[in-house]
Formats: sequence, C-alpha cells, structure tokens
Amino acid sequence: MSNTKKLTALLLAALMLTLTACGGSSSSGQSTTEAEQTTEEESAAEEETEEAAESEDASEETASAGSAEFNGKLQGPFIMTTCGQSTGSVMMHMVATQAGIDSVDDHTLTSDTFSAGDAKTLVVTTGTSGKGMGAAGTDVNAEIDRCVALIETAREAGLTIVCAHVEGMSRRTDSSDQASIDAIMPLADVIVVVEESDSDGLFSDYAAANNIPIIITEDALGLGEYME
Amino acid sequence: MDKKKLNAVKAISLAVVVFAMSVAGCLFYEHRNYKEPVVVSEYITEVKKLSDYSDVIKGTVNDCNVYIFDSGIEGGCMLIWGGTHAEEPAGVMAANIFTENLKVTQGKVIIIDRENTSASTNTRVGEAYPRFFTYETDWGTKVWRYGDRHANQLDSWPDPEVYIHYPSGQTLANVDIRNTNRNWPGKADGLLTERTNYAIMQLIDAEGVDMTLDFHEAELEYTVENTIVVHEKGNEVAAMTSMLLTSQTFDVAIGMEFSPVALHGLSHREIGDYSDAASYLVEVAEPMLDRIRGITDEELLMSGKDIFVIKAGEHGLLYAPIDEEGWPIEKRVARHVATATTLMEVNNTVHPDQTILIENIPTYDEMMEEGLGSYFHNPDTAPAERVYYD
Repeated sequence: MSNTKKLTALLLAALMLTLTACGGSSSSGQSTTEAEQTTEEESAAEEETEEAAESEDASEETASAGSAEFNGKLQGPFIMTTCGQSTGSVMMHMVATQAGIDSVDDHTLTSDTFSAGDAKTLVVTTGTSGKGMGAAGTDVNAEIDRCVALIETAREAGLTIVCAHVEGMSRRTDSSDQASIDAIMPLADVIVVVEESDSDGLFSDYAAANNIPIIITEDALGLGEYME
Repeated sequence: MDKKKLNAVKAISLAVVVFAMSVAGCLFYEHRNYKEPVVVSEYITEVKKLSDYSDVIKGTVNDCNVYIFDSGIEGGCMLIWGGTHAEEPAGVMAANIFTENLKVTQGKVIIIDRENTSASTNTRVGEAYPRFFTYETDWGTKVWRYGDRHANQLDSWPDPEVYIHYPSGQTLANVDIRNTNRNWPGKADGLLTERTNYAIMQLIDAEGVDMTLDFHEAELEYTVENTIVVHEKGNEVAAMTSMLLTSQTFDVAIGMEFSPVALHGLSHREIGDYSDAASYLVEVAEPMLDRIRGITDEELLMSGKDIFVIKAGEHGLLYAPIDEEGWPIEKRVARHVATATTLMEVNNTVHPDQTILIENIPTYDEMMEEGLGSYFHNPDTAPAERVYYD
C-alpha cells in the first residue's frame, strides 16, 4: 500500500513537471534577462531565452509567441524613432551604430515619409520630453498619432515592431510619459526596457500577461548584446 | 516725552543704525572683494584675460581669467566653464580641478573658473545664503565666494522692464538680463552679462573651439536633473556619454535632453547655433536649491543633506533620488569632472579629427574615495607665477 502511494506521488510529480515544461514552452518568447520572475513558467522561459541569446540553435527553439521572427535578438538594420521626442532613440541608435549595425534615427518620421529599405526592425522609444516636444512644436497626442500610423505602415512592410523604454524612471514621471507607453506597448512585437524603467514591473507584467517577448537589460549600453 | 529724552532716543537709534550698517557694510565689502586664489597646473601654457578676445568686457568685474592648456599637437579644442550661476558651487570647483591639475597631450583645453564673476559677489535677497563656502585640504581651508544666479546690480543697472533677448527678440523676465545663461550669444553693446557672453563667443571663434561644456546644478524639484542638455550637433556624443557614465561610473544615472530649438539665450542652444562648436550643459542635484529645504547654510550646501528634501523624496515628489547620504559636494564635483572627461573621450571616437588627450585629472572613483582636497593646491607655498585670482 505504501509503495503504491509512493508510485502514485511519483507519477503525479512527473505529470506536473511535464505540464510545467509545456507551460514554459508556450511562453518561451520571453527574452527577459533581468526581470523578476513571478511564476515557474516565466522562470523556465527566461532560462531558455538566456540560452537563446548565446546560441543560435537555442534561439531557434525560442522563436514562438508574440512574433514568429523573434529569436531573442533584435534584427538590424534598424529604423528608430521616439514617441515623445525624448532621447531614447538616439541612445539606441548609438548602441546599434557602435555594434556595427546600420541604423537610422528620425524623430519626425511619419507613415508618409517611411521607407523600409532593407530595414528589419522599427524601434519606437517611449517616455516623453517636454523640452523635446516643445522644441519640435508637437505634443504627446500628435506624437502618438504619428507613431501609431507609422507602426501600421511598418508592420505592413514586414518589419518587427519594438517598443522601448531605455531612459529609466526619469521618463516615467507624468501623464505624457504614461500615454506614450500605453499607446505603443500594445502594438509591440517585442518590448525592450532597462531595469530602472521596469522597477515597478510595468513592462514585464504586461509582457507576461500578453505573451510578448521582452528584453530587460541593466542599462541601455547593454542592449548591444541583443542586436544583430 | 521731553525734548531731552527724545534726542536721546534719536541718538541711540542712530547709533544702532550706524552700527548695523557698518557691520553689514564690512560683510558686503569682504564678500565683494575677496579674491579666490587658484594655483594653476604646472602644465598650463597660457593665462589670458577675457578682454584679450574682446574689448567690450575690459575693465569690468567679468573680465575673467582664461586658462589655456595647449599641447601644441593638432587635435580638438574644448572650452569648459563653471560659475555661470554662482549659487551652484560644484561648477566652479570642478573647473578648479581642471585648472589646478590638467595636462593636455593632444589638442587644446580652455578653462574659465568664473563665467559670471559679478554674480559671485551677489546674494539671493531673503534666502539667508552664506557668503562663502569652503573645503578642507591637507594644507588648510580653500575658500570660494557664494553668490546668486544673477549678476550684481552694482555692476549691471538698471534692469529693463522686460528683457528682450538679442538677437531672437524673445521676451524674458527682466532679472534674466543679469543671468548669463539667458543671454547667449551676447551683445557687444549690451549690459554686462550680454557683453560677457559676446566676448566668450569671440574666444570660441578665435581659439577654434569644437565643443563647450557649461557646469550647472539644479534643485531636485526640477525636471531637468542629473542630465546633459545638448545642441543637436552633439546628440551622438551626449548619448554615448550618458550611457557610458550610467553603465560604468555613476550610481545615479545621468540622462540626456535635447536643447529646445525655440528657447533662446541658453548656452546649449545659442553657442551651437552661432559658432562651429557643439554645446553641452550638465546638471547635477543640489538640495540647497530646493524651495522646501530647511536651514540654509554652508553645511547644507556642501553635504547636500536636508531632512525636508529627503522627506519629499520619500513621497515621490522629486526628479532625482535622495537618501540620508544626501548629495555631497564630492559626488557633485566628481560627476561634473567625469562628464567632461567622458565627453572628450567619446568625442575622440566620433570625431577623430577633434581628438583631445588629457592626463592628471582624477577619476570619479578617486574623488569619491579620497575627497577633493588633494586636487586643490596651497597658494601660500606655490610658486608665485602659478598663483592667479578669480
């Protein structure tokens, strides 16, 4: 009788492990490297994706939810723009350039002026600058309209859409910052943030809830490792 | 009251007034006339006056020293200054670190310790600012004047009813006519601060300056905090500098802001627009400037610790973090110095034809670990030819 109970328990444990592994697989698009884990499934997904960043074979295995093309790395050439005229897109542009990847940074790019060329990824950085928007003669609503239309056009052209927030909590201080995030994040195939930007879990929670791959780095400079 | 008693009251009142005026007069005189000794680096190549570049500033209090470090080897040229706002001490102290220690092995670096000397002889009325601030070194106490944002009315009077910026025509608050960071690129026949900036623009042209850096501090209640504000010419360099310092050097991130195209008079906008140079301005947190601060004294100025500002931070009301460690002057100066050197390093990679190589400037970690004292030198024992006064 005792042996039967042990055997039953062992079988149940094996069944749970199998289910857990399946769950991990279903969210393996997660490319989180630093995010806090809230579930075992997320943890399993993260481990898989960390490996993916180091191995092409592994990264093929992680290409799943969110974007069929996403393999744990952002594919250049890039087109960068900012939803809110903050400096995040310049930073990401410089990271890409330093990594030897072609990148164009255009803060006023519209769906009308958009030309995909050989670009594979559109990066839209969120968080706003009052100084920047004032200087550009725009406001957050106009910025959102511009970027949403741009994203639709870029998606039709086959580009992967990245929503990024790489300037930390200094770009999450007011309603304009939040409005830009709320407008762009749901349109993203991949979310990219620095740890500080996600200090309250806003981005990682959203990514987990909506099965969107997310890359979290300690700082913007670290994003170079996730570009190719 | 009989006439005799009335006269006695008048005499006593007069004596009290005369005494108070005498004491205040002595304090004002001392503040206005104190000269800050600077022991220039042994590697300095030339010390000029600002009036050597333009006569419009000659004979005025703002005819400052211009410290030139020219390697003689072709490269870039960077102009760095502190003291735009004389209530922001990290700027002048950081500039002093360069002036007293710098060695340039390629290109040229030019330092101005006090961009608006007149403002350092002023004070903020009703704010109980200290007249001086000090730093302890191995050889004794180094003393600087503590001043205001605006030039002294004794040097620039009267203010216009409305300040109309030249050449944009933008209207600004009348007192900003005495704020040197509101009247770039200056005006040859303007008031003192306009003439000061005009002369510096002549310097920039004459020396072939490629990049400028203006040191500032800001209250934690201000949105543009711990950041580099940059003219579009310098976007790429500022972005890399911001990321490098945030990633590798600073415990509190340094951000980046674009210089607004339509906001005139500021160094980061007008120098870039009216010269060949890329213009940068850097801010660091100074709790003394916060309106909600408590006791306003030198201790607060240098330690950057204030319980009311810390409390505001706990409630999420600030744009920079603060804890019981405050924002000590060592950290503020070290951030400025590291920002300047990193801008040079990054600019060397982005614009190799503007390469500037320097030595003998302490790293951020060195200043944080050892303090600043060993980088300020004793004017009493230094060779006389190396001692100048700002």
